[in-house]
Amino acid sequence: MIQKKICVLGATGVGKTSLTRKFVDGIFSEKYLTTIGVKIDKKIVPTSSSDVQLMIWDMEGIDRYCGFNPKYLRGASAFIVVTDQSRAQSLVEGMEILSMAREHTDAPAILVVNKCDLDMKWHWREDHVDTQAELFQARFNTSAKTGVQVNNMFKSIAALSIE
Amino acid sequence: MKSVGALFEILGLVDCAILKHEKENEFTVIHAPLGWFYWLFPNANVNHAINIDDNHSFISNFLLDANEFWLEPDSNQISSGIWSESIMAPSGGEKLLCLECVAAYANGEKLLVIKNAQTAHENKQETLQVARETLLSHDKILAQHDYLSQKLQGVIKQNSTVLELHLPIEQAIQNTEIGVIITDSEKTPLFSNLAAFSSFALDPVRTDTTPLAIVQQLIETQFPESSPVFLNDKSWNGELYWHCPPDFDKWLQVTIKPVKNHMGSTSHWIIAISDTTRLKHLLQKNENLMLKDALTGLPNRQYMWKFLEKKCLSNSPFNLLFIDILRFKRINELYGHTNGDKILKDIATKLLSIESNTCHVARIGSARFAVISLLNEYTDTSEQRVAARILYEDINEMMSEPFLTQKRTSYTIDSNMSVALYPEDTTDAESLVKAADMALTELQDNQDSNFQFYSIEMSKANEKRLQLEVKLKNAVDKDDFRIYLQPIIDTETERVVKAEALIRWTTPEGEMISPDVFIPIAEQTGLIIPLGNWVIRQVCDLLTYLREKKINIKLSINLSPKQVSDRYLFDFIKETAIQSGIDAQRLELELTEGVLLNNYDKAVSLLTSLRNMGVSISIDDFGTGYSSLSYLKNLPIDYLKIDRSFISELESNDDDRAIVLAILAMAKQLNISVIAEGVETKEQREFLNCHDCEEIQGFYYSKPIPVDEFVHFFRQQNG
Repeated sequence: MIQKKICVLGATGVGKTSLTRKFVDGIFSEKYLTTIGVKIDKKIVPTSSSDVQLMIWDMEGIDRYCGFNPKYLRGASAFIVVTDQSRAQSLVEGMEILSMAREHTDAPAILVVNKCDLDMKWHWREDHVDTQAELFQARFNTSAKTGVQVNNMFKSIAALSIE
Repeated sequence: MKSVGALFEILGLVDCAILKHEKENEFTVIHAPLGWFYWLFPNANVNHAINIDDNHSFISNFLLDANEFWLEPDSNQISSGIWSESIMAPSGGEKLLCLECVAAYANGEKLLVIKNAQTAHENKQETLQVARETLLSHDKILAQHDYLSQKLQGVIKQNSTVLELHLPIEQAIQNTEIGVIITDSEKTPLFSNLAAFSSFALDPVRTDTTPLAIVQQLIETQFPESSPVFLNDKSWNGELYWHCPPDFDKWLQVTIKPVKNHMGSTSHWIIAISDTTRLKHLLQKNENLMLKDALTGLPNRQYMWKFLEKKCLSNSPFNLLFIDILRFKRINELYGHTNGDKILKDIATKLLSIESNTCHVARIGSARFAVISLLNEYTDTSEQRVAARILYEDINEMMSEPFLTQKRTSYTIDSNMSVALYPEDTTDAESLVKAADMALTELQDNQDSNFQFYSIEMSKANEKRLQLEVKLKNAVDKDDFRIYLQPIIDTETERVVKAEALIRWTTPEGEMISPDVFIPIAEQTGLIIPLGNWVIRQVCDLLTYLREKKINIKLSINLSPKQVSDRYLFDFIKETAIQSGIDAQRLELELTEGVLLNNYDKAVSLLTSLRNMGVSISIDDFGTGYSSLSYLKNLPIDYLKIDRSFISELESNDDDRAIVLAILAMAKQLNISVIAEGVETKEQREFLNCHDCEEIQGFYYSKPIPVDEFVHFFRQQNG
């Protein structure tokens, strides 16, 4: 079976682990537990051409305590940049992460605006977010809590990874 | 392996597996604890070989670094950092393992140690959990604070008097945890909620002072330079420390915003107060975690911000110098990340030699460093500039000395440096950083110097550029571009054999914007991809149009660096050519030498695919870059275009003549055709014709012209 490495990146607390856990185990927890280093999960995803085993590298949130580590991106077939629509700063940080990642890989990337079950607290206008999203191959508004678009987003990244 | 026990002691390990590297991904198990290691490698046995493949993706990834380290170990060991993954245990059920890999070198053996890092993981998680929860709460409070003050500003603007505030809004403000004070234009409080009073432990009924009076007094004493806060009709934002012994000491985030009426004058003021004391203390506790760069040990970006903010409150001048290591990605590509990290550490060590009480160094980006150099308060601007230049020269000298990789290979780095002066250029940390950044950007296309002072003109140009960016985005959406063609002539027959397609942009206001201006912006903003694709589509359509007019020539298109990096470029060219029904042999792509060298691997694969499809390739501006013979030999190149700078003085400059003749001779040997660009005179044409330059392009025959004019020109020229 084809095996593809996918990296999940984003600022602290945007819900990277929650999204991965929802997708892999179907579980969501309200409790925030910070990720240390990298957490690796596997899941088989059917695509239109074949089944793909995703190796999901859920990375520690990038913030003042943990810098961006390009070594972890090596060999990634695609990556996800997660932002949190209840925290405006997370989009700015997400775009910085994309630009750092682009110095090391041209693998396809998806922009995820997570926590869409919560009130939108960021002040970005939709067209601004659309402009940022143009730098990605796709954009999804997800909620790890309700599961909205989580499977579709991972299916899409699986399809992008084998293109 | 005799000394496993001793090795344990050296490494300080207990619960770990030790593997000896044999070849490629093959290891012999020297020692393995029962349990988790066998869950990870179910078929492993002590003293037998195992293979580490992509199923162990984290370890495989670390082996790339380990292999580099084992080639030339410069320290005892390197570590992978902690990772965790769920493994199926033989007893059934998944177990979460927290592990860490170490590559070590002992007694001539290459060792891979896999450690159970459960405890380290828990300890780190415990510390960072608190730190990150604090950080998130802090961000949340500040976001709420900003949101509330912004919303209130809008609400009050829409209501002519605060008394007309709707009841639900008033109730909402009364109950919020953020202190809110609304005053009239004369700063007389019209409304203060309970949180505003409780922020300063005041009883609203019995107090003889007001929250606003305390805020004003704190600003006057703690931010003397901003004392006339209410005078200039501008917003103010800052952190105030309120100390009321023996019971209270608080940190308060305070925002003051004017509300303007339709005449543009201030009708009200809004003051928002958030208590950040708990978070401030927790953040201070985690200060050490926050302010160091893990790789180099230098202070990091956050430190630089704090330090700059502090220094911007003083009256003493200082210089902010940025150092950008150029093409650092190339070092990682050539020598691997371990060597890249080593060079960064070496740069840090060199920079630390200038560290003193008045000179502070920080690493503020992956390949960027900052130096803040404090000056005597009596230093005038010209002395400040001299000091900045001396600092630059010292650092430049250090940076010019070669660095050594682990294999002792000598490597020279290139760097750009910029300086912003406080208070001459600007007086707050954010704009100072922006200024130094702008000056660095200015150096990007400067071949003559690697040092630049910030100037106000840069800000103006930057603003103009941002406006142009918006216009360009609209132009891309609206197809406001046209293709012009510049004929390429067979030198001997003087017939048109080809044309270069060049993009032209006229704004809806009729302003012609030069490609030299908008192409770099498109390149930097990523708009070059849709724009480049537009050109490819247009040129394919044009080839169909010309074919209908019985003009069967090649059209060439320029490719930019970003386009070459675009993984979808080849598919796009192929699909567009098929859709237009054109012969791919009619298409030619032009790349500069820089594009080839900076994206060599990608360029090789792209050019090979294009060549297989029938597209021809030419190297643009040849002679101005590296002019490397190896790529000319190894890459599928059909044409070299001699840069116009060698042609313009061909009649009078012996050196230019020699260079052109050398290029022509070399190309002939390599069986590559040559086109001379920028031919403007008969003498230049004659010279090139005499020396077998096959094709020429330039104003001598025609400038770039609209398509219909080109058709006319073609008919005239080719008869």
